[in-house]
Amino acid sequence: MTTEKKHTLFVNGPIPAELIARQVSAHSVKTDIGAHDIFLGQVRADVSESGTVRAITYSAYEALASERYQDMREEAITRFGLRCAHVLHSLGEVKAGELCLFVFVSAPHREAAFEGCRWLVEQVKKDLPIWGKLIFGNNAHEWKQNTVSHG
Amino acid sequence: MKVRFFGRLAEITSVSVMEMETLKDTDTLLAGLNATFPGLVKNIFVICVNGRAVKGNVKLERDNEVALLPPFSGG
Repeated sequence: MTTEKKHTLFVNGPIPAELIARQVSAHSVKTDIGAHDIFLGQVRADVSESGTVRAITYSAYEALASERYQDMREEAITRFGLRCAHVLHSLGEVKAGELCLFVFVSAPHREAAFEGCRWLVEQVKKDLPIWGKLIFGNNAHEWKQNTVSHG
Repeated sequence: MKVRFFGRLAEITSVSVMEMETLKDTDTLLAGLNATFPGLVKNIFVICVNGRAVKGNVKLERDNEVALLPPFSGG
């Protein structure tokens, strides 16, 4: 049985912008990387009949999400020939305008970075047991429903 | 055995995890949950046993962890 390092998936609260800079700096030692692609998910103040979204509260089946993430990350690296990949997802409350998702992939060349990043973003939204509760200005709430990207 | 609830389901049950005596199978579990929380099983969810999604009626064993997972909405 291999005891491989488990990559962290969750962050409590919003993802701070400084974290992105730290991650970029940390990868500068890997000089076989020629391209990074970074996706940032931000909470949007959607307007509906229930009001305006002021925050999303995220919860997860943490053990299962973490396990699935390890496999998903390995698959992304193998499938696209990535040099590295990281996903961070918020738990708890993230206010409108704050970051809730960070996907960062690195590859020797840009095509793999673009494709790997997109693939990982879609897989995170499709396959990780994470739920968002939309919180409105009047504290009413609704469960978020994901849509499939056709872009 | 342990039963975990998430999302809308956890709101209906008011708890996120329940410890209970091991039941025979998942159909028995769902019937019991529906009796305690009418309408719970009308919601859409996937049943996971020890981290694996299952379909149909599945036998349960001691120390199983069952989870009822509504559609995911991360990201």
